[in-house]
Amino acid sequence: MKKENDYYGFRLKQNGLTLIEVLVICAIFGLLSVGIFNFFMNVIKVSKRAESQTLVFQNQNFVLENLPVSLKNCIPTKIDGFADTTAFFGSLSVKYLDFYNKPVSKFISDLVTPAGGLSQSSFVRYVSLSPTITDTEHSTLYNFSFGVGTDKYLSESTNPDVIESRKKFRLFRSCISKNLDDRLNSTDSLNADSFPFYLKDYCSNITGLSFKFFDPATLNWVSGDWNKTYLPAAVEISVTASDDIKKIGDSTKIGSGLSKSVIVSIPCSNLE
Amino acid sequence: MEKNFKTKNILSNRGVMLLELLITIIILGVIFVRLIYSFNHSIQIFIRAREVTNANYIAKREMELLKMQYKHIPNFSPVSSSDLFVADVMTNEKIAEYSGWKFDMIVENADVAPNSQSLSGRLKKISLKIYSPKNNIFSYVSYFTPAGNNN
Repeated sequence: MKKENDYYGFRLKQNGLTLIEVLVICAIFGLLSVGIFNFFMNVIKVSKRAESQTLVFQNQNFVLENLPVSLKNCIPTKIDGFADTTAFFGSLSVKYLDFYNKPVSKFISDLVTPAGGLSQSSFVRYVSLSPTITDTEHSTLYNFSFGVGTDKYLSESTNPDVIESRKKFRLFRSCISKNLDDRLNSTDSLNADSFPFYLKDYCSNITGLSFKFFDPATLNWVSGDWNKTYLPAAVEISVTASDDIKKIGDSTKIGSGLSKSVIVSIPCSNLE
Repeated sequence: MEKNFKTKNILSNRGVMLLELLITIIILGVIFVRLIYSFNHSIQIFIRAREVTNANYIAKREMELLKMQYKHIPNFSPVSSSDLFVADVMTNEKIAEYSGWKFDMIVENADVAPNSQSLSGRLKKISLKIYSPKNNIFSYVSYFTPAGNNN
């Protein structure tokens, strides 16, 4: 009679496992482990991708929510019953603002002078609807709002700073306020934080920005610069945001971009 | 003796091992299913949130276009139509960012004012039924009149 622990054939023990069974178990566990590892790696990869996409999406939404507001804010309000287009178009001629060479006080008076009807407590707001990338040395503003009050200056701006090495726009929302702060060089009641759309240190990778205008005279959409003597009836703002910018050797690879556009009606076209 | 040997054989050898393996697989399976479900659920929430935002953008865009057409085109009178797509304003081609999205526009007369006075078809109720690529439906309604869409 054989005992239970007797060793015979490939069996390790009578009530144990054969070598083949151990190998099969090892193989199964190996496969299972690899599967679990891959699963978790995929989860991490997808969640990272989702997080990155969400950031881009949210940044892009932020820009698209704010640009129309800024744009509408730039439309001249009616003062004493007259649509004050001077403020708008007078400012339009100052297309590229030079923050580096012009003192702020001069800059303010440049904006205030054309708007003769404005009182000191009014807001003067400026928008350059056509951003340029040719002026790389200085700021090339495409959107700038400036408020002049009796006792304080408020500022808000979006500034696509062209970084040649990266070949991309970077949208800074706080740099101008800092510049202004530097230039004022005093406690001159600069109160950018109280501006409704000011978000400190906000930054987003914007790889494309374009405008199309609806001409109320011809009832056609046009792209490029708006240099008519009347307001467009609507503006389409298109923004492309990118989630990933990598430097590979000398070239720069921009990740997949998300594009979105929004149409903004201009309430009071002065063609009417 | 024979009976004892059989019982011992079933419980202590492969039967027990298989049983343990089965229980382990079931437990792991349940955990994995829950894990995958919650992960899938979070992805679905993310996709849904993006869909809602996109649908909002499409609705805003189309309503703005309608508003503009009402304001600037004389005697503009939209009609109900289906399977529309989001088009470029200049080329009228499909916009890549909204590929897969389509919408129906339903135009109805909103004739009766609160004081029961007939508006003779001047007030239009325009509904947009927007279909996402995953075929989720988003509905938006706005009222238009040839006069006074100046905002």
